[in-house]
Amino acid sequence: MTSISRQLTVGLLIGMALILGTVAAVGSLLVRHAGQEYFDDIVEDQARAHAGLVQFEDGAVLFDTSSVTRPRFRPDDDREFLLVLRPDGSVLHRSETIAGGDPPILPQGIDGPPRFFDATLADGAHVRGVQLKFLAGNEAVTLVFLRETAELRRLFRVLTALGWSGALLALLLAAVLVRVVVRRSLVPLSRLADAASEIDESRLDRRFERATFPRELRPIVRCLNSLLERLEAAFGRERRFIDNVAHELMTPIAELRSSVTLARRWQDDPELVTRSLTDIDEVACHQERLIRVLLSITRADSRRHTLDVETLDLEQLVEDVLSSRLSSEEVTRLRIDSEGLTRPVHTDRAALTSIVTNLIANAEAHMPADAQAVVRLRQDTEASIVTVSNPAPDLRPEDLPSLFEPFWRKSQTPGEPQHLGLGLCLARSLAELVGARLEARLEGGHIAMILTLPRELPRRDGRADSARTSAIP
Amino acid sequence: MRILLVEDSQRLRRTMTEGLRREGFSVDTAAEGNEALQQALEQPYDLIVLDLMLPGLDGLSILQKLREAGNAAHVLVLTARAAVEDRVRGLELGADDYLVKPFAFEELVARIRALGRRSYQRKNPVVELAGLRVNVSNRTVEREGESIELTRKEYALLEYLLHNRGVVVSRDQIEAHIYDDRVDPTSNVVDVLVCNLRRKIDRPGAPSVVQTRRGMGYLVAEEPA
Repeated sequence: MTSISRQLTVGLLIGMALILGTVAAVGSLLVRHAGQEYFDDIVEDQARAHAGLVQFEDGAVLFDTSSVTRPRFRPDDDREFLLVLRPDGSVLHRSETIAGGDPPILPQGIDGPPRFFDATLADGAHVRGVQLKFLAGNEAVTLVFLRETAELRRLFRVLTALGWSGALLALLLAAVLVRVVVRRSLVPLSRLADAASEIDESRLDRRFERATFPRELRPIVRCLNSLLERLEAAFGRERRFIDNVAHELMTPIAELRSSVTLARRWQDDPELVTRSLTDIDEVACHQERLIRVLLSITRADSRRHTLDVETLDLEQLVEDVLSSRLSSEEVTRLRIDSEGLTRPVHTDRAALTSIVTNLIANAEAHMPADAQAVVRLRQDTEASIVTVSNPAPDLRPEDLPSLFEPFWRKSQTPGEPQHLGLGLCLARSLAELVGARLEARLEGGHIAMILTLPRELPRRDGRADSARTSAIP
Repeated sequence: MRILLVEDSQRLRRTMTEGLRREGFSVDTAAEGNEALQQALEQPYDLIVLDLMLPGLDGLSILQKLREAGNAAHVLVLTARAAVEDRVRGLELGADDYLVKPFAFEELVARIRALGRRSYQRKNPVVELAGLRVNVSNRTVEREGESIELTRKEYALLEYLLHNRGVVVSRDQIEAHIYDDRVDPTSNVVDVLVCNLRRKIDRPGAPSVVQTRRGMGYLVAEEPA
């Protein structure tokens, strides 16, 4: 596609050329027609003036040649010719200038409308003629008046040339004007393009000022701004993810290397060596857990987990999860609130258990020490819903989009390396895998994780590969 | 040299602290950003080893606030991000050096010592004074070719006094730079340390390298009297 500027310029010029050409052509025809009519009137007037010279006396038709001042021949003017015929076709009068043969005589009724015609004389002269047929006494006389059209044709040629030259000149002026107007009209578009080209990865916070653009471009500007917002958010997520991954993976390696260095350097200190080895073992275990969870997320996201769908009592499953997690002193920190579940759910037990476990673990880990988390279970005609809610005084609405990002933590509590920052990410991936929906809502300082299990969960069989035997953390 | 180590990983913080203390540095620690900033503004640290990804307040914000507050302590940034733009940003905000995780502990110690030398505008690691030859790079002390064995604290005291040659340093200053916040402020640990150091480095019968200024502190003169 060529440039808009070029397309507009060419299109407008073609349009202008067509309009000007049409105007010139029609104008030329109209002028020619008007000129022709005017010429015909002159010719007819002349013919009728000469018809008045035809007299009927003593039973004979006469032509008063004494009163004839025209036709005449003048080299510098158009020649005129006159021919008057008796009823029998014999010549009553023929002007001296008509030479080389008579013009054609057209059939015509007496006192009928004058008949105009174009003819070429024997000497090659183009003439315009009018033929009248009238009664002189009781004799039908035919009068033909001719006038050479050289001057008229020359006039027509000049007018036509002037018309077309004017059109061409107008087209040239229009070309310049169109070019200027098109360029000026496209300036905002160029400005938008320049501003857009300045935005790179490091300047995604820039926005276009809508008010500075013409009305036609504002929808585009609005869309671009919206796109930039989403792009900035996406880059922000990607950057946070890279930061977090680097931090989560490199820090344990730094721990390993420091422990190894300490153990090597002060190997005569058995207490230090033992502590270093313990640290190395703990780091290895932590990394193993991290890698297992990351693999599970990857498998869930790529639909490589094989689902083993069975009929489950949701309330029982949640109670099992709670009882497996709670030590006696923690009982008061979690409460289950069930609204009479009557319908079982059909889904993968391991996946659902993992989702519920991660939601509860997340609530336990991040609520204030003296707070209580509530697990609510309810059903409606469409779905079974598990809501895990807990006080979250530090969370802000703007944190919600980040909650399910890998490694995202509102505030990592120092000294709690057991939390990987992957629980919610894994829970959402598994929820999507089993066809459920997991979303977060923040109301009144409480965060609610809502797991919606539709009545008809898709029975995805997954791919039969090594993932079939993989455990879900 | 007194160091503030800011690192959110409990295990890394512990191993680094242990290693740095064994290398003779006084080390205080912080695991959270706001806590680290408060400590850095309150104590006269020679060096801050600062992790960038921290809970509370991130490392770059700490760095920025420190510089805005006029704090001139050297800052060695620790981070898992190795991209050039990240390093540039850190350095532009006032970091003195940059170390990417995972790092070799020996490199960390070497960089800390290099920054320590920079603190006292000394490129040559060897300091000679009154027959003493102190190599701050390999932390050795000799007198007339004979090696003198100093404890870590004795060496740290000697290095600190040498770095401040010609200037009287108070007991509080010595405590602040030689000891971390584990020392009891009411103890006479500095006096005992000075006494032990004198016994090891002074020539018998000669004036002490470390002079006492009563009511003021201690001084290593440019040329001992």
